[in-house]
Amino acid sequence: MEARELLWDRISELCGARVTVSWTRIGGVATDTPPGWEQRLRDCLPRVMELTNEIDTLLTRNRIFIDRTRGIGVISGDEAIDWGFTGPCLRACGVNYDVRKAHPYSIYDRMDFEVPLGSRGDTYDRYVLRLLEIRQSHRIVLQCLEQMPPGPIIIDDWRYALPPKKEVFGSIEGVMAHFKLIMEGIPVPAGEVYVYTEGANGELGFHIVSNGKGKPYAIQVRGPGFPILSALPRLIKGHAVADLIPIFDSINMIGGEVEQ
Amino acid sequence: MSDSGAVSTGGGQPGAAQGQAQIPAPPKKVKLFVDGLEVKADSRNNLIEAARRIGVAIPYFCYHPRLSIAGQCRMCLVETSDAPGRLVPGCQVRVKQGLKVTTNSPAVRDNQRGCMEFHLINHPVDCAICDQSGECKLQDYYMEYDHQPSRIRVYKLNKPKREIFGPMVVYDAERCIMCTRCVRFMDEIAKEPQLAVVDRGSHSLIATFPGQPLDSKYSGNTVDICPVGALLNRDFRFQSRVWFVNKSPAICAGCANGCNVYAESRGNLIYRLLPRRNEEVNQVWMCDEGRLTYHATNENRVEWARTGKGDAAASIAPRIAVERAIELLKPLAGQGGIGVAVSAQCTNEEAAAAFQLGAQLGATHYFLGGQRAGESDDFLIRSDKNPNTAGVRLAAQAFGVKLHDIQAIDQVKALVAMRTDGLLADRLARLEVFVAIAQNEDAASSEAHVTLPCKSLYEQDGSLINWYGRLQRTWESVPAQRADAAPGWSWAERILTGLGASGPKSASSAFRTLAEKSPHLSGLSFDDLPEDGIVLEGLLPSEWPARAPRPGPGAHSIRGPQTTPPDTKVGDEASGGSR
Repeated sequence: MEARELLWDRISELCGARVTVSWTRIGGVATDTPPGWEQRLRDCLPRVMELTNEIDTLLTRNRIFIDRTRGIGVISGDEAIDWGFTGPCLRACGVNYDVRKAHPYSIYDRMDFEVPLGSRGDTYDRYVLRLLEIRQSHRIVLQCLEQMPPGPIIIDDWRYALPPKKEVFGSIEGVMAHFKLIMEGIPVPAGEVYVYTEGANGELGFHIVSNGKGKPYAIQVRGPGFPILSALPRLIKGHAVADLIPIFDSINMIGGEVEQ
Repeated sequence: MSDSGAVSTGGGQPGAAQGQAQIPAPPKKVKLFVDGLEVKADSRNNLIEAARRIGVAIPYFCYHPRLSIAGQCRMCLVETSDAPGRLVPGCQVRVKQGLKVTTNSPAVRDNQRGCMEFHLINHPVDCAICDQSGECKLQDYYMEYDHQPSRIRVYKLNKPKREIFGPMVVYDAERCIMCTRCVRFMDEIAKEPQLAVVDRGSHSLIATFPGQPLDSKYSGNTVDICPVGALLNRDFRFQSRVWFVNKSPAICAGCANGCNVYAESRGNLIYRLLPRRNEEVNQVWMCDEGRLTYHATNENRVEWARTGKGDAAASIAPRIAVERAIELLKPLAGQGGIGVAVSAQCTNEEAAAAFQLGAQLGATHYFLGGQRAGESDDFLIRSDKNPNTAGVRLAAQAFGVKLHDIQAIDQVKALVAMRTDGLLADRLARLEVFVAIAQNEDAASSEAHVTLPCKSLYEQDGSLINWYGRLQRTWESVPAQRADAAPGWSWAERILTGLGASGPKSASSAFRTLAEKSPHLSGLSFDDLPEDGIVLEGLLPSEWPARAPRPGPGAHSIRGPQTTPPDTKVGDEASGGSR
């Protein structure tokens, strides 16, 4: 809980919200990092890792924990693929699929990190995998801090990115660009596209159909949580009622995403 | 259309000049290349229209297909093989066999960007408070051709912000880009030169003459063709943002000309009417009076069915109101002395249903109501201020009844009125039974024993026949229901059903009943009526006002839709102006 708060504090410093981030924009991000933010992030990361290690020592070799999770909610790699698993739940079954490695996007080709894999596909593997992924994320964050150059935070092309507020309030050019982007959106060439990224829970994909205008003609979201949650009846089959909680927690359902 | 023959894009008046029935020779076709793509164009086309044929947009502010060429804005400059290394205005240069036109070379692009920059030098930061926002050419072209920050570091020029030009139009000189479309419209189409350019250079602005306001009956069109927010409609100003209203086709209810319009509405309120292109009725224009006809749909409506008059008036459920009407009418049916008044504001379907009801009641007298005749001119304004006098007369003929003047109302003791326009209220008080299907609260509807709320012409499906016999569709242009209002034919049907007969269940079936009886309509189906209407040849008049648009040769043929698609957005294109 303390680790989460430390990270969420950094996020809320960045964009004003703890969970509903909405910070990225087409062509860049909304705001620059506040003064001293990078240092605060560097300062809090060791504590986060310290707490991660604490959880590791508390649980990973804990007899009770192993008894409750090892061999519970097992699913094979092939079956997981059939259910549409992605992310840690799929990799816990030993299937090596990570969008960041399979189809690198953004800056992931410049990052040095490993994709941890499980073997049994049970609740224990899913737990261990998440722990290992926290360590990998730590590596990525540190590399980003190293590589991130100072400079503009968004492209300077008013066809795609909102003009600075000074221009919007003070010049007709700015206010027109702002108006058109907000009211009509960025005209996207007609056609359809599926873009997908690796989210914390798996593949998050958007299928967008454009008719050449500023608003999508159709949009479908492929969230990682829904296929995994739909396999829950299959995962709990044959187990005690008390096992439902560890299984359910290990797939990390996010209500807002599944509910879409 | 005045000099400068460079422009001709289906404009002008179909059927040649006045009094001459000659069919113009088919235009010569020439082949040219726009950005390497072959285009077959009419030899009278200019480069803008030729490029438009293959979907290549050459931007322009001052050009308008129906006005003379000004070459003011310089936005349409393109390169041609005739003048290599130079830019020529696409609005003024005509097509030529084998001409190669380039619309996207660096020089052309650079000119477009530079033009936009110049146009915006003195433009105020007004989008947030400007009615044109959302249908403004400056906004659209800025995003497409400029999209760069301002480089101006000096103060913008201050000019008059809100000049009242006339009853319909207000002018903001700071927003004006001096395209002079409005000046040319007043000179060439309205034929009342009431606007002019005064002063010079960046200080120039549009002005009226001293003591002479912009009071032309067509002044509202200058607002439509204004590519920016300089001329605004005083009636619509600050009433709604343009992206909040739904645009749907309709027919103006203002006079017998039957101008094709778009009604823009939100909820059950109409916010404005804009002309819709129909070459044979209104071209792309409409009159100021017509623009205001929507107020009768918004204001002072009979909202709920009611019985009784004066202090005894009570709103009741429509079903009970209909029962009460039947109760009053049934004893008199077939006894004589029942009259049916049909307003010329009715659709054909309402008129047909009214005559059906009259026949069932054994009505002895039929009256033609409607708005009083008003002013007329030789262009779009007809003296008959009702949209469907021809249709009501045709329906009466089909049902074999004679229409009396409304003055003869004293001869009946009971009256059923399909719309109450033109009924003489002081003569209604003596009626034993008066059932009114009324749209607006007026002196007549307040005399009714049973009042049934009627939908307006902008709210119901139907058909109208204009002064020269053009059968045109109306639609439910306003989607939201207003109180208990229903089409007139629906009320007639409910009364007919209560009397043990049957009536039309839809506008389509009402039209079918009428079409079966009328030789003029035989073979026509309501659902297949084209959007721009068809001409009933038997009704064509022998005399035409000099400049009134008229159907081309082969009048009865069904031509494809020529109206602008409803999702077209940009100012003048929305009114069909430059398509």
